[in-house]
Amino acid sequence: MKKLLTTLLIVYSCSSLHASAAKKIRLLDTLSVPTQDSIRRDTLIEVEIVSTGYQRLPRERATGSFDFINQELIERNPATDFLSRLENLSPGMLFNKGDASRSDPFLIRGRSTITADAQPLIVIDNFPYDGDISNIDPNIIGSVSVLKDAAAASIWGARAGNGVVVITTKRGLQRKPTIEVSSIYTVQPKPDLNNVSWMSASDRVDWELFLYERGYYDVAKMSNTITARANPIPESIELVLSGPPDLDKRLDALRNQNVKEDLSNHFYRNASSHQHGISVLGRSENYQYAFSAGYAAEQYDLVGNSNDRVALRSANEYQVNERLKLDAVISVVMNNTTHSGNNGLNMINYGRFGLSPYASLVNSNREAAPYYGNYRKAFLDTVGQANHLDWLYRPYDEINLSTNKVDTRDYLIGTGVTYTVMNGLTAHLNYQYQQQLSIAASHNSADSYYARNEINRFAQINPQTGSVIYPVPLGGILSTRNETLQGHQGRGQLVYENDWSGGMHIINAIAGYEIRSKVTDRNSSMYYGYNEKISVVNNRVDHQNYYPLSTSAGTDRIINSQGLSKFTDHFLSSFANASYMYRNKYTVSTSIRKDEANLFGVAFNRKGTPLWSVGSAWIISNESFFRVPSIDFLKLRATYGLNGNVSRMASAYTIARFDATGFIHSLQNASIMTPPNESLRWERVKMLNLGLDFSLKHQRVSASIEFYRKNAVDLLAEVPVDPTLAFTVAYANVASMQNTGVDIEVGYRSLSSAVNWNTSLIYSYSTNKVTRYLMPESNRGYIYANSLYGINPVVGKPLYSAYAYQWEGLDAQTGDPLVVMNDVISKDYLGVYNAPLGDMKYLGATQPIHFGAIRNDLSYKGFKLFVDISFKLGHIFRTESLENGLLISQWYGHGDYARRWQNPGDEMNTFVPSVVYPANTHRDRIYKLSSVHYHRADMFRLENVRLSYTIKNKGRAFRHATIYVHGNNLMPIWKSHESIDPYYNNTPREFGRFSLGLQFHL
Amino acid sequence: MAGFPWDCNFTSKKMKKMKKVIIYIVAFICTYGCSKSEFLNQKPNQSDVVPQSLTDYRAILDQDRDVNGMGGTGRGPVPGLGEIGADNYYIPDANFRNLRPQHQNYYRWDEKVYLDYPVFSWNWPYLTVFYANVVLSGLESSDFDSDSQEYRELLGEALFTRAHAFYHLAQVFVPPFDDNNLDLPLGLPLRLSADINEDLKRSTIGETYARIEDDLLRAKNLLSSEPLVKTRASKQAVYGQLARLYLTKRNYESALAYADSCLYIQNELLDYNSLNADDRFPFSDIENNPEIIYLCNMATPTGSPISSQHARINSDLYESFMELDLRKKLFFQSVVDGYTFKGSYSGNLPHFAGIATDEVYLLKAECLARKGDTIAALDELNYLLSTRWHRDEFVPFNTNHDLPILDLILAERQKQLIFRGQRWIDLRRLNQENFQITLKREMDGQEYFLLPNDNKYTWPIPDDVISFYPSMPQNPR
Repeated sequence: MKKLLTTLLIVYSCSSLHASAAKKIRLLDTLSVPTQDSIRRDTLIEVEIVSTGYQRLPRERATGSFDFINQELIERNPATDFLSRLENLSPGMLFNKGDASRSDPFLIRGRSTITADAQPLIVIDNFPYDGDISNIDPNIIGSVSVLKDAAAASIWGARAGNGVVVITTKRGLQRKPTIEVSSIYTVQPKPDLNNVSWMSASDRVDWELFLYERGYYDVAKMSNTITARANPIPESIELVLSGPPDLDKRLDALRNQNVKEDLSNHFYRNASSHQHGISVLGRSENYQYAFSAGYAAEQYDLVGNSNDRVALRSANEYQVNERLKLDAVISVVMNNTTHSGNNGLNMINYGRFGLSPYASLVNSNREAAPYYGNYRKAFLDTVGQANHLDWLYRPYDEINLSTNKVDTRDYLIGTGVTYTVMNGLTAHLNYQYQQQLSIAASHNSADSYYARNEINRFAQINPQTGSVIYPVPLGGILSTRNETLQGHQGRGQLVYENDWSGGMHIINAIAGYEIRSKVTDRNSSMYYGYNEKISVVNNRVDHQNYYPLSTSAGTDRIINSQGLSKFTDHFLSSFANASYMYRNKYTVSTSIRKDEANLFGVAFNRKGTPLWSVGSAWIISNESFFRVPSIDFLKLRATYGLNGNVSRMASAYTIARFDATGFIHSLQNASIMTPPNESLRWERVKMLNLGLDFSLKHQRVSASIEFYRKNAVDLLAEVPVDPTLAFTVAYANVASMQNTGVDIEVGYRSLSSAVNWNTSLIYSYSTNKVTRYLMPESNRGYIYANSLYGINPVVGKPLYSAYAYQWEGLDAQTGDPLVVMNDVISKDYLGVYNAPLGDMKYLGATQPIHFGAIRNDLSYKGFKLFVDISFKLGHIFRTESLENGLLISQWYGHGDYARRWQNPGDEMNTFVPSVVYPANTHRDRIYKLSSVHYHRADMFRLENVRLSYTIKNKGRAFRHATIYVHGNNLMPIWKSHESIDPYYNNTPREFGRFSLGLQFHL
Repeated sequence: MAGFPWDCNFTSKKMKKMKKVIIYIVAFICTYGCSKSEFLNQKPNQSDVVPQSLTDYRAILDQDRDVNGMGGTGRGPVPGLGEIGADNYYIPDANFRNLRPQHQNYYRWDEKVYLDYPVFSWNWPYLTVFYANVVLSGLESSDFDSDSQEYRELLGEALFTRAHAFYHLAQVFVPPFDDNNLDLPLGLPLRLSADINEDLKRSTIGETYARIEDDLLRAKNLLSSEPLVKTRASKQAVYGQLARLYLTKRNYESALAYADSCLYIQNELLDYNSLNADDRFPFSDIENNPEIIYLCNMATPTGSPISSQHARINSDLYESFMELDLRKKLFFQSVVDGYTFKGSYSGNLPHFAGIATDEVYLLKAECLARKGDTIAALDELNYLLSTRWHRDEFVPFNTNHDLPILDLILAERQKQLIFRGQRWIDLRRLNQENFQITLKREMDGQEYFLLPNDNKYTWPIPDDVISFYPSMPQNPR
């Protein structure tokens, strides 16, 4: 590569002088020059210039799979984050929601790795963006290119296996400065907590009385140990034990309480956000500028949780002389996220047994009520003879007493030099520095329950004098975690673009080197006795000694969490890519890239495997023999190539961990944690892409159909190894997967004068399966079936699959769940639990197989209405139901309790088994994984509806102004499950977001 | 159309400007080109320690759990299958039924022994080999001062550690050494690097022994005789191991020479009179046991047939200890259904399988006796036994003894080295010399025999190993 570059340098140094005589040098960005392709058509249509991050080229000339999303489409969704705005815009891009988002929230053309990160690479202008994606202000985006196949993405080599999203920022294109101003206000009603199924307060009280009678709470009657006195018991049982004369009346009062009302009224609110942006864009003869500033503030539906972001960006290009152009980018993003001590509906955070459905968190005077989820009231009243700090836990007060803040500062400075060596040949040098500081502080104030509880637990009280010593100092507790990310990226690149003989030959080539370094430092600390008003901490905390606790017979040390870590990623790459177009009909393209990284060790880097691609395209409609009047454009494309991916589960080196002493000596010694794997290498994704683009009837209909197959090989996965090698399991590049899919995009536009109607359909079909995996299958199928979104590779099946026990209803005599195992109806729950996967039923993938959207735009004069519908089909989800064991051990339970089998005959009307005491763990497990809970998650949803009105007025103060109302995340139009929306499967159901937006272009 | 480099037409001003640009670009390329390997050698995660320095390798060899089998984790470089197959113990019927099925197969010398349980006798010694290989590969790949004391010691220790483990593996998984079978491809897979991609095949028996011998001979000149701790190899450990090796090869002359060299450096014996027979583990003070030359344990999983939970001392063997022989009380503990072993030099439950002076004395005595030097042989034996008996009660053996001197020495060898892993090795060797020792197991009225020189004196290679190398020859059984 070095040699090649040297040669190129010589060519360039000599030929440039020759070229200086050339008459015409293209000024500024080639982007702005309308290409012949666009002029050729009698209807002038904006040419889509896609960007790979290395170069920009008209989409028509590309062989690969590029998708182009323009600014108008980006602004179609008013979300404050950039990723949400990409939803439903490009085929092949999948945004998983609901339970499925636990697997992969965002994918391009499916997951093709087992252990590596599956998130697509995000590139802003020239360089990959390493920071937090939520720092990207949508306001800066001019367009987005999505690179999906090998030819498009392979220029990114080892990081392109998951696809690439290239953001091109706004540029000033017109001499008259454009000022874009926008404001969006959004509200979203508070979520519906009743979407989470809970057993009723009344059922819970009855159930607890039943448990009491069976002796479950007998231990609470004893008071011989601290633990027995301290351990909380449900409020109903406290009542029974205290035995007031009006017991029944008071129990009935509990039965009528509903904690969800307290939560909904006092812990949740309507979410809202507002965002404002201003961009100033323009150019003069030799200067191009773009400034933008954005502000976004969000209040989430949980009281106390919010986020705000300020983003500033300045991008300038300066044409020094005919040949030399300089550019500079400076961007600063400040993002602050605050989470309060509001647990919302997260019931397990309320104490050792969760939140009881009849708890009262706020009393009638709107004051916080205590909740005895950690200790019994009687214990708190007596322990330490009232010498402790207030020990009550009042969840409602906690909202304001604890905060968890993450402040991020993201600085980015980039600079570039472009030198036009001769007509067609330019040399580019680019450098970018990024620093992202993230400061997370979790502050439990002096009054917070967490701080008071820690202080009290450790407090040493002298029973005679009542004097108290506080090993945990009085005051708040502050935990901090700081992270600094520093990235340097540099690139030297030669670009050659030229055409001859009136465009008969068009050549487009680049070659260069790239260097990237990303270093992440983290540190965390914990401070006691923190007083935020005067910023003092107590640093005399004894973390060494064990103290007797007030809450148990044991001792404990005061937690000290301190840590330091540092991660380094180094990459060196060389790349080249070229395309040639002949007579505007035939295009061939090729690319090659070699990456080296500090992950793989010298031995591998020395060998290296280049990643490459080849592609070709044929514009049939430009052939003279092509005479189909209705088809005005027809193009065939095919590409094949190799992209890469990185998994960090293994190391090329021996990794050891040190210990201070051995077993029989006190010498420092080291255990080997990971064996060296010298043949560790990039995961590789071989990708075939076939595409057909056409447009009909003067571009009224345009379509693109693509078929792809991705064979991911050398995937890093666990593999059994010969024990002679000292390990029985290791990570190695041994697994393979295959993704197959189709992406279709069809657009229709009516060209009538008054009413304009545009519609587009995007549709994707995407499947994947594991084709090679060497770990022996566990002989217990339960392990695979229990986790729907964990990775349990099974050869021949999708990476995320649903398996279940074949449901056979309830036993008519006992209400026990029945399943079919090996053609026999079984109640042998332990036996079924131990059955292999082969005896279970495979139900399908848990990520959608068919997905897409239909976008409709209707415009009449200044009015515009659009309606977006999305669909996801072909996948499976699992609904929740009653867990008998949880019903006993916790203070809550699933609402299916009310539908449980109670008497013979009930089995005709319900699938919820009888409740038994004591519980049978395996019975619960088998019921949970039986096919009765698995359903198709198919759905069509109304995503966006917007009505806007635009005034165009060239003479006045603005060029045009738009006002709109917008609804987003509106509702499912159709879903295969009659009652449960898979997006909100037993979680609070969110409602639509409604926005009011204003846009001015001055 | 672009011009060609050869028809350039320079003007000086532009040339100058161009030069500047070129210099910048070349400088850019150079800056990284020069430090490229350094750039790519940065650790991805700072808390990972990639062993690189001599200090790191020192620490790796001092990992006494994996290298020496300390810490009661059932690890160690010496396979337990040898002792499991030998005749120092029996298992009462009731205990037999509690054994894991695979362990029952071990005890019966079954045709098919391995079921689904890992063969720790293979896995753990190879773990030790791996540690040694990490150090050996590391020492080779970097530029260390190969004359420094530290380097020489590390190299010597690693070579010893690997050779010692290979030797013991060979005593269990490789047919007995014989001049006639050296070319058989039934030696060990000699794992010589740390890389998990190393392709392995079985060496010949001759190659296995040659590797052990070469490594030990190399190590002998590198090591000092004053190790800081007994878990590290020393010159005397190498001599002791070489003596063992030649004894196994029935090269008694060399064995004698190395035993002598070993005892020349370390010859102290522990006076058993100083110990308390009531202790749960009488040899628990391992720091002050002067006999230990090299400290390591036998790889035995929990609940193995020879664990004192199951195994009872062979009655004849127990009875062969005289009443005034201190070992009868120091080695054994009476339990309801017999006697269990408590005399491990590990000072606890794990079976000590390292090298100690008592073994070297016995080895020397045997070699002397075989040489015909009976007086010298008896001197060595008597010197040892005088520390094993009640003070002043020991009557030294003399040439008038009714047993042949060699038999006498071998009997004492079995008694002193009980559960040290040596008995199996001796049985293989002695039966080669026509001692015709047949072993017998009895449970539930059923009898099982292990005949002299039976193929079952070589345990099969674990099935999961063979499954990785379908062409790997399995031991005949």
